[in-house]
Amino acid sequence: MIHLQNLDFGYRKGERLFEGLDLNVERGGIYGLLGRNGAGKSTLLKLMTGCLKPDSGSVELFGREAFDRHPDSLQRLYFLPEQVYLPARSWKLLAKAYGPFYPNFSEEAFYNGLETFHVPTDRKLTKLSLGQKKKGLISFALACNTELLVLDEPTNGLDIPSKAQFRSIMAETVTDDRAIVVSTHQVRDLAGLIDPIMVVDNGSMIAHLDLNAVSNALSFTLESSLTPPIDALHHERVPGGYYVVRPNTTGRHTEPDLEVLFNAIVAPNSRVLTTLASASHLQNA
Amino acid sequence: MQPISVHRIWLLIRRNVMLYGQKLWAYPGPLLGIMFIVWSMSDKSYAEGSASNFLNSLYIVVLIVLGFYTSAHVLSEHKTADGRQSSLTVPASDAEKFIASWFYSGPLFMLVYTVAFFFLSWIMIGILGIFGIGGFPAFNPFEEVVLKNITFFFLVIQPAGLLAAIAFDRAVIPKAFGTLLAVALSLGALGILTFRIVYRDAFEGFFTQVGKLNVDGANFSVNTDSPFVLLLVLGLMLLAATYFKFQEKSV
Repeated sequence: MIHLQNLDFGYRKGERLFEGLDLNVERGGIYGLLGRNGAGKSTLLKLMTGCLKPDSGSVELFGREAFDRHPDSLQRLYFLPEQVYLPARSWKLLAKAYGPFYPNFSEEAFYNGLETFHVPTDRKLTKLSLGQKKKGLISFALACNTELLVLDEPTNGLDIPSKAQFRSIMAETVTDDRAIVVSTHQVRDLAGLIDPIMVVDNGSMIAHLDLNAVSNALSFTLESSLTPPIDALHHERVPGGYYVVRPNTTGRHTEPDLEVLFNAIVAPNSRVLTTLASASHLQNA
Repeated sequence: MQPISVHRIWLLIRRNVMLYGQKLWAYPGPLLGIMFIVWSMSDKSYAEGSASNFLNSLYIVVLIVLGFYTSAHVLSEHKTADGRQSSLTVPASDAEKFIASWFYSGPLFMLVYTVAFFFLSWIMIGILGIFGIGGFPAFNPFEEVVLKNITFFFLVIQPAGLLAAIAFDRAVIPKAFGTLLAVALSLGALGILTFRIVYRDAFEGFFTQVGKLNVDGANFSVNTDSPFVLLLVLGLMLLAATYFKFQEKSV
């Protein structure tokens, strides 16, 4: 669906945000794009969807150059940005104005989504809160029934019940012939949902991980010890003890905590990353 | 090669009308209403010919002002990064989006405005007739002076408005007006320079007299089409610049 090859990009001359970045997004998964603030997650999504032009390298979207913004590519994806733009009109008018551009758009699914998220339909869109706007646009995005959904920080501004609804809707949405790319810095909102994860740091994709492979290679445990474990690949102080990441020597699968995994990956001289890389080599061998 | 589909262009025009058409329908009404009130309160003792001139002048002034405003605002989504993102990801090619914007702020605006003006002029004539003031000719959009100004609108005003809309994010109207003025001054300067080169002996700066052009009894043929050709070239250049600027647009 999306192929980035040797991508270079920077907003200013001489300042590289991405250098030689490679990435593939294929059908059948909810890709979690993780990174620190300013790592370029939103920029990467804009490059993928043709909103930005790469300095060099290529960004292919459904087999075409993304920046060409070919209608056949655009009608197969829906991009929900972090900051949404809505005209001072109603949801009804928005659906009528934008819906026909998407061949599989379902007005019924859109209104069902608005109802599920309790989004008011009788107010001007500009009078709604950020969360209501986001929920309305998530409903619209899902109603478009596109092969690819690109969501930038979709849970920002959502209240607690809406986050749970979002998770369950996303789980229902993903099928073998679709893909969803979600960028977030609130990984706990999407725990149990995103797989694989992609971590962007210092201008490159430092990890592209299948969570099953992570569970095979690493164990994640909460230990009620007062001193930090010496043999851990990574540990974090949590109330009541330490969250510890070790090589998985037992073969028993533990659910990775995404926040801890992310911190372990982006830590300087990450031993977790080295372990994952060697486990991947062993698997390939 | 950018794909062009009539169906998608139609969807884009429909979208523009649905989401932003309120301005198109809303502004001509009140503005024309105010101007007709001024007209009805003014001296009605003029002859038939001057009443016709009044309507033509009114039509042309409002056409230029409102037309420029509409053209400069048709791509208003592009003023913010969020709006640009929303517009750029609409499933249509850049060429289709450009054509739809041109059609919306050109032919569609012209049609709505002209029909509104025509009917309002009849309403005003009717109202004036009730008060015993009659004998006014109805507005005729096919008069030569009106058609000339419509051509001017399509060749200069609308392309300049569209270019300003895509080139500037803030203070679009004054910057567009400035650009237009700069283009006009440059063209004027170029004309004067050419004149100075060709008619060196007759050129006396501000004191140049056209009568003096008949230097040494030579006869110069005058090409009456040249202003139109010049404006056509200018219009096409402005439209081409707008399109390429649009195509290069990113968030």
